[in-house]
Amino acid sequence: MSETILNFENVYKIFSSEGIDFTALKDINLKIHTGEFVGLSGKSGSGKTTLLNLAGLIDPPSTGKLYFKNTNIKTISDDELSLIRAKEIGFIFQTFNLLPLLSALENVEYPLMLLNYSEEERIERAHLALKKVGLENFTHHKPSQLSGGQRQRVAFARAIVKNPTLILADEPTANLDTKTSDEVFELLIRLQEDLKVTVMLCSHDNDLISRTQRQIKISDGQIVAEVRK
Amino acid sequence: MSLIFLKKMFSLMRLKIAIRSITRHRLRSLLSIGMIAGAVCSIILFHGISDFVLKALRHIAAENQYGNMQIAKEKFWNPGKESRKDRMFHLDELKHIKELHPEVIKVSGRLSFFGLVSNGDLSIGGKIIGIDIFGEPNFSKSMRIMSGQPFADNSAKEGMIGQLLAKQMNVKPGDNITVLTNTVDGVMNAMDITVSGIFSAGIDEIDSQVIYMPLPIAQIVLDTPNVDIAVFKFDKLPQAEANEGRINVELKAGDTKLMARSWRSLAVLFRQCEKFYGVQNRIIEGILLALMFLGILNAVSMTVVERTGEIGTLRSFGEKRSDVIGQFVLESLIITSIGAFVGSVGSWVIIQVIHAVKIVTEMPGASVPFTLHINFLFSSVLYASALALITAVIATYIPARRAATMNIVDALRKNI
Repeated sequence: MSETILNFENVYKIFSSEGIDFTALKDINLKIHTGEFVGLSGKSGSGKTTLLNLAGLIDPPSTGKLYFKNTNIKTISDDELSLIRAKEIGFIFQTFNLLPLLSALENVEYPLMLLNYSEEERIERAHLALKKVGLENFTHHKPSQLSGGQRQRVAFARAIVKNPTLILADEPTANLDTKTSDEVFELLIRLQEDLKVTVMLCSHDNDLISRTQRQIKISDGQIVAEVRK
Repeated sequence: MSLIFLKKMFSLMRLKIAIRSITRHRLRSLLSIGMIAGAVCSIILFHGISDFVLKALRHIAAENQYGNMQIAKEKFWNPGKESRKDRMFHLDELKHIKELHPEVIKVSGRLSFFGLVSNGDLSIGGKIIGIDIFGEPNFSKSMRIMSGQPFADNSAKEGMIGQLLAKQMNVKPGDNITVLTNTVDGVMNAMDITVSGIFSAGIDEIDSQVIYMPLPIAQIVLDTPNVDIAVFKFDKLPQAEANEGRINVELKAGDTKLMARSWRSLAVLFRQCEKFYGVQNRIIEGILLALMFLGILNAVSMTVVERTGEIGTLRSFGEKRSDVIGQFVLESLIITSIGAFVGSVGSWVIIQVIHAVKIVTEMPGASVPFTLHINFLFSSVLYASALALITAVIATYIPARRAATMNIVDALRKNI
């Protein structure tokens, strides 16, 4: 049986603003296993991104327990959480979030620097990752010199370069045209299959979600439906 | 701070990001560099001016006015009702001290008295000081001779007269004046001496009342083989202060009732100036660094706001809080180092310009103007640069810490 990477136990996420509480996630019980491709769907404001943020260990649950590989994240320090993110989790954002000052190659190298890889190894692995996403000829381009689709490919390369166990993709195709969106999604599927990495993807696009192995529908902060292929 | 953290902080990638961040906002970076350079330059210049003034005052005090060290009867320093004779001593009493201290290269005597100085038409009260021209060779060298020359030897019935006193008496080199006073036994005595030269010590108090004459001539006038003060010249000036305590112990052991005082303990004006410049420089440094602190705080705060999204992205990748702070501090250190370098070079250039222009100024209480000189001190460069770096690190740490502790999700939203 595959290993459980993430385990949500009765998780709530409540945001407070000007004295008013808003419950973004309600009583989430969910296990994510290695190698799964999970699609999160739901309307805007349903809680998909909040769930992804919790899964990425960048936002703690308000109540309930969240385990990452059997470690209760509430019991570990911020530095330890950072280390888990650095080693195990790759993020892909809707807005790409590439560092504008760095070239494509340097952007991909960056996560490896956090893991203290040598410069030679960083460059070698970053080249390989860029090759995997078809950007081997754009290594020295700055993000501003790349198209939207190319930027997202760089973001993919940056997410996979450290061989993470979990990739979190938040609306990765939302800022792309239909053709590029399809290409990028195909690339994500291919990478997931090649690397046997766990992927959690959230999207408005039901077509994309329908192509994932495990589809979870969220509404008003609750899991309302789940489909496995 | 661990070695790994430092290694990480100064890694090539971080340096690359830091340099690109600095060049991304050129105007802001240039303003910051200018502000830091201004502060560093000002500190170096203020230190250079005070160093020049203090060195000049020290030279006057230690080589001219007091000598490196003075030894006199305790009653000379704290006079009571005793007779003049009781406050004097013979230089032979210090032979054993000289033997114990090879670092003392010359011992000479001084004898001073008040008397009437007359040119035939006018008589004015003056202070006559007998000095040993061979024992204190630097004495006349360190004095500004306005006209004429120092007296030739210890047997010449000559005197050097302060320029303000000479002006008041309307005398010039070659003129004769009469010195009238009581001998140590209370008998009236007078001697005609020739004015060999007119000097300026640069201090009104001296220039308006002092006449220097050879020590043996002063001893003839006072009819005594003794002196008031013995002046010790050391191989190196710091030896005077270093040996003051030891010499006093040796003098006490010899039952001489003599007491040694180094130039510093005698030079009240020097000590006051040293204290004044110390306080003044600290206040100026405080003001400059406060301005620099606020400037950097403002610049880094703006950068933090602009880079909030970027910080969120980096934190989501696993960048630690300390790494975020380290990145901002690194950028600040680079800017401050450039600013400190520019400020140091700038101060050197300004000093060269000031020296070339030859700005003439006056000191309070000084009888002659002097050309402003600023000492360029490497120690001040290091001091000002270190202060700037410390200030920059503190000013950067505050907004950087705020950036590092911000909620990652909130920071990521700024990318949209």
